[in-house]
Amino acid sequence: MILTRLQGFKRAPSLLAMALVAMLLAAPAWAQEKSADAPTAAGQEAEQPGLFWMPDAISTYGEGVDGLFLLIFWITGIAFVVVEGLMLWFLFRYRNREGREKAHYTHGNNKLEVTWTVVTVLILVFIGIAQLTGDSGWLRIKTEYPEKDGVVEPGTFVVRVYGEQFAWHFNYPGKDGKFEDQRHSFKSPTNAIGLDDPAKDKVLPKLVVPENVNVLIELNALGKYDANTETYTHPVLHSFFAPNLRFKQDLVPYHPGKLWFKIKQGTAKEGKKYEIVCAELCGEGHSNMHAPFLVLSEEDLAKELGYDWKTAVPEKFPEPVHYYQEQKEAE
Amino acid sequence: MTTETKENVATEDHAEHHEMGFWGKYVFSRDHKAIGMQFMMTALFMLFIGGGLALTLRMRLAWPEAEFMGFDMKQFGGETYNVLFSMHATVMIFFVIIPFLVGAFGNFVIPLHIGARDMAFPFLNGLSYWIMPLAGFVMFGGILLEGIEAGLKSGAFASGGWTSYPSLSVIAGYGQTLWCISLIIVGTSSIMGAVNYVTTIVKMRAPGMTFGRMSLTVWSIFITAILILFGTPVLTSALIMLILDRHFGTTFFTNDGQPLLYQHLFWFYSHPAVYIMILPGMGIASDIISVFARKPIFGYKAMAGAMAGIAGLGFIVWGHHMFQSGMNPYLGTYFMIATMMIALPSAVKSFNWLGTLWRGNIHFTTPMLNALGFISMFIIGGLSGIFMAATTVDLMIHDTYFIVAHIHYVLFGGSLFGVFAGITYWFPKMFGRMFSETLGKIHFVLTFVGFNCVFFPMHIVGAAGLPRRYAAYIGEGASKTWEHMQPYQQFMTVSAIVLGLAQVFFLIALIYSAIWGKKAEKNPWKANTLEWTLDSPPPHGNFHPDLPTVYHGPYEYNSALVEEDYLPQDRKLEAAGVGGDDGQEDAPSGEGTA
Repeated sequence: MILTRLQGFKRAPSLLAMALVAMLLAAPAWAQEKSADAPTAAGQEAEQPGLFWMPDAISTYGEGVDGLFLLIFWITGIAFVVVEGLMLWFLFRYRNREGREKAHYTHGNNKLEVTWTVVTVLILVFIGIAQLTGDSGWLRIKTEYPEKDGVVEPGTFVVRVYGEQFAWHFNYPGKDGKFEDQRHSFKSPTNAIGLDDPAKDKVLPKLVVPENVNVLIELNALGKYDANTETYTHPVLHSFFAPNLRFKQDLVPYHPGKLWFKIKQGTAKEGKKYEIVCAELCGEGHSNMHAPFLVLSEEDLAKELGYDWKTAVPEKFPEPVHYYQEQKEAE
Repeated sequence: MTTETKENVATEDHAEHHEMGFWGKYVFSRDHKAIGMQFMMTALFMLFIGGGLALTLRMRLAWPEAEFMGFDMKQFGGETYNVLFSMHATVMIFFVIIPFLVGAFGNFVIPLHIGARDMAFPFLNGLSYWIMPLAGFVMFGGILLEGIEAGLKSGAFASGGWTSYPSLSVIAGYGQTLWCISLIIVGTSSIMGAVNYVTTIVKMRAPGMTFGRMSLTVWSIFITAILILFGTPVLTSALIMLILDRHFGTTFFTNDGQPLLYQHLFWFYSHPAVYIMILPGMGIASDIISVFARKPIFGYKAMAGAMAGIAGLGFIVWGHHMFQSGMNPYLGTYFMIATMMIALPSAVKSFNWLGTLWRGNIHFTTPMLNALGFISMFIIGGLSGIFMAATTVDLMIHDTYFIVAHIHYVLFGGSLFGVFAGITYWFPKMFGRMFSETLGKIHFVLTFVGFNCVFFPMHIVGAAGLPRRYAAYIGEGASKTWEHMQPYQQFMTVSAIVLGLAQVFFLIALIYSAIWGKKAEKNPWKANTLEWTLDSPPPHGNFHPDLPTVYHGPYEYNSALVEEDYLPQDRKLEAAGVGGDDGQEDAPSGEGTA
């Protein structure tokens, strides 16, 4: 039936369909060329233009995430061309016109229903499973931390991240390789996140990491001191979004989260500036809540931190102290 | 119970036709058609409020530091910007799309399609509308109390996004409480409507109107009503807990409570709510496609079944809004698989629409164009949904413009084109006059092109990671990562202005057609369903003196049994053996490709 119908296939829609397919095929190449022209974050020439307009992927799983994006792009792209193309063809072919007064009377076709249902299920299950496994799979990214039962693997670069309205604080363990306890009541103008002994840790307004080692980050939402009422407001949700890592995760008040990534070898020498931005609405300054994110060579990193991080890898994160616990203790 | 012997509950209510004054007829009417029109007019009004908010924020995004007609765009940054998009989404979802699809079409169409004189509970039906303006006043109560400028400073308007996640919504200004109360009222209205729809559809179908002979519009609203009944109470409970947290010192979502609990409760309602906002559109589009392709709907049972499937699965996929919320990643895995499965019924529906068009006799009327717009845009929205359903890909595009593109392809490209299709299709029954075909087509083309120019580029900037809910992407204090994408912002804004003007044009076309349009006959589209056997507009109580008896399914177009290319549902065929149940059950399967 379909085949006999195909003989009536007119030239115009077939050309249109071919043009659409050609455009779709050309799109990625064109996009890559385009993004090579565009200035990157730091305003430098991009050596490795990202896919489409995506910023450079610098984590070990970043390109894999892009690959999964592409996989879905092609599957849905083909589905799009087929379905919308068929629709346009039907609209043209079966339009009401002279000599076409009757439509074909049918209530459907069960075989066809079963076929397209099963095929769609198989494709969807394939897409779903493709997300889960492999080096860039969901389970690897979200569950296989360089840490076990609270004990950090040796050789892991560890950072505690605090998000408050509307700033990021990055807490590095310091020479002693131990994170200080943190409490709201310890906060002062010189001690932005309220560390027990701020001199023993290193706190920076930017994220600096080495390349080619596992980086483990603890995410904490920090309450904000309100000078008017002399109280701390509740911490609010933020989201740690590093477009170049292809990663984001919310900072949930009272419930610290963690994440890991590993920067690709050779990223440091490019010397580009990346950004950590907030991707969960957190109030009026939400759009200005971002921080520089740098990948540094070991020497530059030692200069930035003031110590050699390899000799000071903390064994574990301290137990977080909740704001409400502090309140209760104060009472 | 058989439908033939049933007494119509509303019959007595409408047996006597007393004179009604202006108030009784237009304001406090209990006639389902009047209530439907009230919902429609209110939603249309709110559409322009929501649209105005959208245009303001688009202007701000394109030129964050410029000045237009005395408006300094700088003042729309920060908290004001948060108010703009929070109110835009709230208005569009709760005061435009749901009232249009569920309130307006649900009320207007159900009794006419199933052959009833009115809803089961006319007073409850009226009440469900009457409390809507109250909800609107509460939502924008800050304007009455303080005025816009002072209100913006003192937090009189909700600014936590339409999701209003705590703790931000716990520490926000009093506008957040107004927002909660307003949505509780809207939810109550929805529940009253839904109770009515379910009861009416189950108990008041005309003789012969079996479930298998109901139009897909009625099926879709029936399923939607069930979704509302199950989902809305959960949202209401979450909102009440939020109010308690804000004002009465409880800690459901803060301190030793759990912020994610709110997100779970919120999405347990709000995910089904996105289906509440699309299912009636699907039903309306299905009916219109069948009428103007002059062909029975392809796979009627699959269509109704797919909608039921969407409703069922809709309740077990809410977690896909929370993949990056810090929720257990294994739970995310489950929600991904379930979400992939919900793409299935949508795909089945799309294929069936294609099947309906196949070998049809397609008439390009305004309702048909809008229904086709619905289908083609819904396909894009459905496909882009797969990107976000994939947990790993979602790592990048979660909370970016990709989701903004997706939701607008579904809710504007989908639902709103469904609304335009419905309005232009039932316009003759509503106003007794035809919607101007010329004006309608101009509106469709402008909207279709404008819509795609606004929202398609959002996929591109979203894939690049552009975060949503940002007041600016260039200028002082802004992130530097996406500066080079500013030309996109400006292009989208210019297109949005065109899109907005196209809707003003629609309003003009609607008023023009209602006053000067061609007088409508009973059945201008030569359609089968029962409303087309009535005068345009139908009288109070619809069917006089007797209720119609239904002999066929609603999609008997180009049937071989009759000479005309349509067969009204209440037309009894004299020939022996064919007058009875010749609906879809009769159709030999496999005929389609035979």
